[in-house]
Amino acid sequence: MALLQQQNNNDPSDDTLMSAVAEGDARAFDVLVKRHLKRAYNVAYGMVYNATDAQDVAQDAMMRVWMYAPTWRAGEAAVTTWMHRIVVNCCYDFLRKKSRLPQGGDISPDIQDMTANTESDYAEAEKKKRLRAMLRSLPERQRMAVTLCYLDEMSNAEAAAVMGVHIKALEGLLVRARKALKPMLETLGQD
Amino acid sequence: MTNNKDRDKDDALMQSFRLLREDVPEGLHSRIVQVATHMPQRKVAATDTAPHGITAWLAGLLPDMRMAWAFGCTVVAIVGLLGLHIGQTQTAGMAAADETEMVIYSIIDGDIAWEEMT
Repeated sequence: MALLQQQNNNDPSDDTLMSAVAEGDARAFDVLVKRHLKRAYNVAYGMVYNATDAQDVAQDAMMRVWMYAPTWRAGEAAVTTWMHRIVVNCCYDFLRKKSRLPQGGDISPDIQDMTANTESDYAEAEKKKRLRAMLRSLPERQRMAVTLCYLDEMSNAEAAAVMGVHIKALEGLLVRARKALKPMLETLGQD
Repeated sequence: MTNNKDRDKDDALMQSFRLLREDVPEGLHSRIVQVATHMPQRKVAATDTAPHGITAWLAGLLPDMRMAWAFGCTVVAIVGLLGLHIGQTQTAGMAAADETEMVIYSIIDGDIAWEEMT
């Protein structure tokens, strides 16, 4: 709280917020979550099978951010990179747990996609559903690369840092993903 | 040139994934803040901070020492097993030699029957 109050402007930096969170400042955590939750939620949604699971993963990730905030050191990694790494790890943990479930128990229908009212809503919901199905058809690491670079619009360098791989390895993942998705995306454009 | 064009076309197709961006469901933010801030934070002990000077040097050395111990133990185990094997082979060889010797002595002494020899 004290650190936040020292910042007279309304937009404290992520580093300032993280330092405050590390000292147990709930207000700073509230601001930090408000700032990063959307991206965390969307990365999670890109990786898991439905909105409910994505909420669980995002919540788990943000709780870890709170718990491990004292271990974060300024200068070692940007807050966004550090937080995204936590989200990525939570996604992998979640998928690993899900893969241990019996067959058929891992993919449940997405309630959000069924809430379309008008025809255009329905068409957009259908398009989203197909895009999500395309993402799901990719292997985990390719899916993560596509989610970070195209859904979250991270730079390749940033995405490589988040995934803990060399930039060339990330580019390789993207090339393979683009190759696999191209025919499906072309048919999506024709419809 | 064609490659760049193809790449741009592929990239344009991939931009479709931007459609998948969703707003955060209502209540998620407040639920996270409420739940998380009641959880204990990980305490960073003084020992968790980066070591300096001789401590850092020792810490750097520790993995090497572990490797040296592992290597040493492996060498000792291999030498031990080899020794055991050689020892057993020699004992068996000696026993066989003793037997042969006894047969020879029996032949010389005339204690052994012709059938036994053949």
